[in-house]
Amino acid sequence: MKYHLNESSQKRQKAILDALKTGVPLAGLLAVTALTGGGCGSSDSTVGITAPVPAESAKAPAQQPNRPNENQEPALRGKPVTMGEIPANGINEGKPDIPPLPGAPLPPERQLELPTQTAVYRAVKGDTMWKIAKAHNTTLDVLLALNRMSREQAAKIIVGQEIIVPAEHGK
Amino acid sequence: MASDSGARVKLPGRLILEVTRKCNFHCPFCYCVWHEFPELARRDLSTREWMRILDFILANGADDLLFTGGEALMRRDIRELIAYARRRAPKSRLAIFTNGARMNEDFLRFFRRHKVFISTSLPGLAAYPAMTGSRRSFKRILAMIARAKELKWPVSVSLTATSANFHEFADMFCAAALAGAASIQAGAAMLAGQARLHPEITISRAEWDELKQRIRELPDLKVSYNFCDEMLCECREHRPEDLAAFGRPDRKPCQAGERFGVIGPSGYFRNCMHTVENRVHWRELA
Repeated sequence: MKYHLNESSQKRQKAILDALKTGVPLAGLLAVTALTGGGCGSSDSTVGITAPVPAESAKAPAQQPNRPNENQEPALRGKPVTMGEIPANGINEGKPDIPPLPGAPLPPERQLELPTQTAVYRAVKGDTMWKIAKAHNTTLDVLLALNRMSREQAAKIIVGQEIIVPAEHGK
Repeated sequence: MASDSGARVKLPGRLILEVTRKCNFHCPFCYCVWHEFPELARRDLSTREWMRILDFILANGADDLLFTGGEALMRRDIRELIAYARRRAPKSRLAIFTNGARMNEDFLRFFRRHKVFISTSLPGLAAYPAMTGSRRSFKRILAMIARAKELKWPVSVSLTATSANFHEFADMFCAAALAGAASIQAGAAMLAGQARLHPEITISRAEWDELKQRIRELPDLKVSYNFCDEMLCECREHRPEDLAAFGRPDRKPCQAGERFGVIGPSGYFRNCMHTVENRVHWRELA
């Protein structure tokens, strides 16, 4: 590696890679809003990230959905660059400091609240696991856990494939 | 100044400078059209020639320059060119797009010192090798973003959605944000450039809309981002089946020629990255 990252950055990198390795969706890390820390204006001297955070914590009601910056430039795509996407001063200011996160990770299965009642749904043309999750009022992560499926496998579902879904919303 | 089609060409204030045709990656979604129009990249211009171009464009109102390629860092004189541009235009906005493979601490510090904004791409996680034709890992990109953040210099990250990274696109977005990207630009692979040779990597409008919705539903990222909804370049002809697949009702007009222009490795100016209409050699602009 050509970069000498400080300790907090190393921990952050490790948390990302650990989450990917264990199959925990990175949205779970983002659920701790302070972890993102944003752009260059933030100070992360207090970062203490040691582990992935449960994905389902992302569903805390207080959190707001992301809002894209609609005023930004359209893409110069392919080699996807834009000349206008960086803030005028080049710096995102006012980002919160990052508090330490104590505790060790739980296995992904224990972090999700899986439904006890399930049903079987048969995939039809045009279905994706995300669409199926939405149709059954659940999340992609729950659906993947129910079906013990990786994201790679989820991308390859076929017409007629049986998918386990929460029963209360089962079709 | 007249183009090969006879139309007048106006030099825009924003210019993309493709300073080299060389690249160490083989991205199937790359916009470069050189395989279709080899005259655009017959040879790389010399340092002296690029300096002349910089002299000309800076003297004619260009004040927003993006250095790219190919891979801009494949040029041994890239620091020299950028330092020259900065000296000639202390207040201009300079940026560089790099795939990150050759980036290192020295380059980061150099770009910060010369106030050159950095853009990079993260075309996949597990799909990174397939999307770049490289054996390198995406970890290097995350490390670069993190180090730039430590140095308090922003890195903008571009994400291109394809059929190969569709399943992990939300994770790509999260990874860039978590690593410390200052901003993220997400778009679907356009049916342009290399993607015309690999149409199987493109996704439909409906799939792109699905990915956007997934991202909107992520927790607060504390990072600015935007979606790019152009899926077909408006500057060139397309087959009816392409138009149907990518959808037309919500098309966005291409802003080529008005908002930006491109100067390619051989010194040809063109309005748009995806086509060669209205191309003219830079010397004829003078």
